[in-house]
Amino acid sequence: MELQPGQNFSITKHSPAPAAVTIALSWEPANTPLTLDSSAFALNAQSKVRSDDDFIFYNQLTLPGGGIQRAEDGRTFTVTFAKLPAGIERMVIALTIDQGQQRGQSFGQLTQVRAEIRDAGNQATLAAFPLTTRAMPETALIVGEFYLRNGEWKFRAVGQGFVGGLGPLAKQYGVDVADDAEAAPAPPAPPAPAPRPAASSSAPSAAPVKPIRLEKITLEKKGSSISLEKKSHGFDDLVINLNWNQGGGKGFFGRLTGGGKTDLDLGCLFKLRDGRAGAVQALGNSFGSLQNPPYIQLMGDDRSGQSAQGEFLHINGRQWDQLDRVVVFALIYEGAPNWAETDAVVTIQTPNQPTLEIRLDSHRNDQRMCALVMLENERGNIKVTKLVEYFLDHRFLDQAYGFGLRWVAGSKD
Amino acid sequence: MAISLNKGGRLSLNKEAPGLSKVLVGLGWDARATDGADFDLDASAFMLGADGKVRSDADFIFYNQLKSSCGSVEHTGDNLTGAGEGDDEVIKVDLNKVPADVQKIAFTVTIHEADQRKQNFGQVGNAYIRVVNADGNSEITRYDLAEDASTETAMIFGELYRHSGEWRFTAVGQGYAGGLKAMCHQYGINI
Repeated sequence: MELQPGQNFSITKHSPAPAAVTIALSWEPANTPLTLDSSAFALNAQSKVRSDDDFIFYNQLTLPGGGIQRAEDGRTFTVTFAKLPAGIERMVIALTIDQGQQRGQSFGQLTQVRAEIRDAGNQATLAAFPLTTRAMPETALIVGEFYLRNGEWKFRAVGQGFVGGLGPLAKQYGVDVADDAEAAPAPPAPPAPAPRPAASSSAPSAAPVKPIRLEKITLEKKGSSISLEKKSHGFDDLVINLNWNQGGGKGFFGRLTGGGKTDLDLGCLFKLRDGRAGAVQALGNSFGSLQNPPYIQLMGDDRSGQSAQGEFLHINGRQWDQLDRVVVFALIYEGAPNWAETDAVVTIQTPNQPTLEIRLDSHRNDQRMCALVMLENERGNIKVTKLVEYFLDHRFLDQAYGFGLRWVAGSKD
Repeated sequence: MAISLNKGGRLSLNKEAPGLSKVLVGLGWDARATDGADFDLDASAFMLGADGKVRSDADFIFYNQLKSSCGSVEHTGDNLTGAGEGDDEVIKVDLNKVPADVQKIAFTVTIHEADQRKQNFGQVGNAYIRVVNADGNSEITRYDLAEDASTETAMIFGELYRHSGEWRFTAVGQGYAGGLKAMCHQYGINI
C-alpha cells in the first residue's frame, strides 16, 4: 500500500496485528550533502509531550520504558505498543535538516523522502509513504504519526513541516528547547568524585529542569574541549562515528580522476586506570571488547565503503571509571593520503548528552594518520578535546600522546 | 445532550428537539499548525429537489451567494483559515421557510485551491459538522469527520432531509476528488 499525504491506515486491523512496528526512513538522493536528523515525539491526548523525556532524538535514543527506540543511525524507529506508557496516544516521526535554515538548505533539495512501515516481527511491509519534496521550503518535516483511535493504532502519512526547523517543531509539541544555539554548553557541575555506590538519596527532582539542547556542539578549534558530565547512574555507551565522503569525490571530475576512493580506518589508543594500554583497530584484528578491558570495541571494518554511515567505535560508558584516556585516530591504510577529499567528520554520541561534532580540517597529505580526539577521565567526567594532529604512523602518534613509550616500558616490567 | 453520529448515522431532529424551527449548521476545523498554505475550507449548502438536483443555480448557497432567494438558508460568511474558537462557518436554516419542493439540503465542505496547495481532508485536523437549535443554542447532533476523511478534497458532511413530515439529519461523510467543482456537477449546478 502506498500512502498519500493525509492518508491513514489501521495497524491494529492488519492481520496478523503487529506487536511492534518499525518505520524506516530514506531519501533521494541518498548522498545528499544535507545533514538529516530524525526524531520522535511521544504525545498525550492533548498532543503535547508529558516531559522532555518524550522527545526521542540523537541525544536521547529511547523512550523511558522502551516503547520507542531510535536506531543509532536514525534511519529507523521501533515502536512497541505494549511498552508505551499509559497516556501516550500519538507518536510523531520527524526528519529535520541540521542547521538547514542557517545554511540555506531545505527539503526542496531532495527529490523524495520515503517512509516504510514494517511489522517489526516478520519485517513485512505494511505501507510505504513516498513523499515528493521538490520545492518544499521546510527544514523540519513531519513524516507521519502513529496514533490511537478508538482503541486502534493507526498511522497517518503527514508530509508537512516547518521552515524554521526542529525548534518550532519541538515547540509545537511542548518540548522546551534551548533556542540560543550559540550559548556555550554549561560547564559541568561540580565534579562528582569518582564512583560511588548508588545511594540515591538525592531526589531526581533536585536537578533544575533544563531545556533540551537541540544543537550539536561543534568543537571548532584544535585544543578546544568540553566535559560530558557524569550522571548518577554513570554514562551510557559512547558511540564514536567516523564518516567521510565515499561518494566518488567532488562531482564528475572527481570521479574521472578516481577521487573519493580513500578508505579511512577508525581506531584508538587507550590507557586503563591500572596502567595497561593498547590499541583498538582493524589492523591486526584488535577489535577490542565492550564487556572486558579495554571496554572499547570497533564495530566492524568498513573496508568496502558500502556503508553510508562510516565506522563506529563503542565505549562501554558504565566502565568509564576503568579508563584513563583514549586517543581516537583515523588512518589512511591504502593509497596516497588525501585528507581534504575525505571531508571526514567525527561525531561522539551518548544518550542524554549533547552530540559532539569534530571536522577534520587543516589537512596534511604527507601523513597517513590523524589523531582526532582525546577522551580523558577527569574526576569521573569525560573530557573531550579536539586534536586533529597528523602523524606518519602509530609510533609517532604514540610518542606524541605518551601512550607508546609507557606502554612499551610497562611491558618490560 | 448532543448525539454524536458516526458516518452514515441519522436521527430525527424533531424528536430530539420538539418544536424545532431554526437550526444553525456549524462547521469547524483546526487551523494549520505547520508552515505552508493555510487550509481554507468552504462550507456550502445545496437545496435539492426529489431528484437530488438543485432546482436552479439559486439553490446553491456559498461564499459568493450567501442567501437563498426564499431566505430560508443563509451562510454567515467565510473564514479563511480556521483560526478561532468554535464554529468556523455557520449556515442558518429556517426549516419552516424551506420551499415544499426542497426535499433535502446537503452541507458540503470543500478545500479552496486544494489541487494547487496539494491539500486534502486527511491533512485537516478535527473537522466536524454540528446541528444546533437556534432557539437556545443547544447542540442537537454532531459528526466528527476526522477519521472518515483521507485524500478527498470535497466532502458531503451531512444532510437535512424531509421524512414523513419531519426533518432528519444524516452524517454522510462522503468524499470526492475534484473540489467544489465536482460537488456542483454532482448536484446539477452549471459552472
